[in-house]
Amino acid sequence: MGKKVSISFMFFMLCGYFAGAQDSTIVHKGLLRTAGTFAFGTMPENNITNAYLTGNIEYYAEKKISVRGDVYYFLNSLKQNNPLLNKNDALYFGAFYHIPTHSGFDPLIGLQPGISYTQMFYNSIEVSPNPVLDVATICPLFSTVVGFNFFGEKWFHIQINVRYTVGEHLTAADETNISELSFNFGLGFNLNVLGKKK
Amino acid sequence: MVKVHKVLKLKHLVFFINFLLFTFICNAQTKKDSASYGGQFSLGMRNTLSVFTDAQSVGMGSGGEFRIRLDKLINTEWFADYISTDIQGLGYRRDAHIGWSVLFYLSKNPLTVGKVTFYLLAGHCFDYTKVYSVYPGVASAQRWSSAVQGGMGIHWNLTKKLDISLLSQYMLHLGTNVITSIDNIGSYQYLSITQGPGLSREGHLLTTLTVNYEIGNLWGRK
Repeated sequence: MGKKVSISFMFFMLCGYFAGAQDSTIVHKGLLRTAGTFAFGTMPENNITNAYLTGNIEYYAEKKISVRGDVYYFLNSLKQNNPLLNKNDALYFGAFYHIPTHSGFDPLIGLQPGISYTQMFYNSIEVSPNPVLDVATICPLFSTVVGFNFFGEKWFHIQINVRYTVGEHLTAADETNISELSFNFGLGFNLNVLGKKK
Repeated sequence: MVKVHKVLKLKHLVFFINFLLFTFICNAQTKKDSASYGGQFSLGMRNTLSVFTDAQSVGMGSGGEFRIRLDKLINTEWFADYISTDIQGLGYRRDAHIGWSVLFYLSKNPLTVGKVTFYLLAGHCFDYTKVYSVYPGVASAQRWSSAVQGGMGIHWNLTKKLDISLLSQYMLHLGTNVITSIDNIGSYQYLSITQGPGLSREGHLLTTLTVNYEIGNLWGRK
């Protein structure tokens, strides 16, 4: 309990620091930002939680509109007796709408179609008593994202996103719903590409 | 009598001149519109649901597209999709589509910010399909086909350059013949796949959600 309070306190201190240094003109046309984050996702159909290393790059074509690409690198699943996923790396690309505010707080909502490169273990008594590794395959994905960026310093920002992904892994040996609700948090860097604020 | 005839002739002449003027104005207007609206280039991403295939299952796909606008009321859309479909748990198929459509806007002022623009579309597509059975020993089969498609959709412009679109189109494929059927061995069902002779016709309904952003103008307005 005390640990959670400490983490929450640190988070709000960090937000307070960024808020104090906020510049309302940071979010503008021509802004290029990139972030590296950790993501955790839960697959309700499979009752597992997965960990990812993620990165994204985003360009603000207008103050309210951006295009963004995301990469998810699958690290592993947490606490599972029978392993299910061996690979679940994903690429997403799409557009985001940013709700205008007069601060560095940048709420966003986006649509990002994507693909995943997925490989699973499956149970086959005929082949082996232990889980067998299936072939890796590419699966089409649909995803929506809500969240925010918090621009404080001229060069840095915090990113928090929640993503819901819909997809299905299909091979001759296995069919698994890989729909996932994931959460990512991380630090990002931003750069004014156009050289002037609009 | 001659006077009446002359008046009639004069009326015809006036009508003819007016007609010419009208044609000239219309022509000039069209040229102006073409110059103002042609050449817009947009890039987008898309998700597609495929239903009513021979597989009798719903497939989901993702892909990309770009648009080149030809005139005020005419746009073109060039797309590529990768669709994966589960066949009732007995097999699956993968489709790769590449094609193009012409969009005919039904609104007088299409792509107005905050408003919905309805359109009709028609086009061509090329498709590669591979069908797999989960039953051991049943070989997969592939087919190449070309298709025509028609349908309708809407654009919803969030800003001048960004739109979200939803479209529904029926795609009719003509290609090599892959026959799939669900057969039984006792109480066990499996997907049988055979490569048949001749050509086959296959259709499916595609519903697509896209997000597009106008990058710039290839010609015309700068």
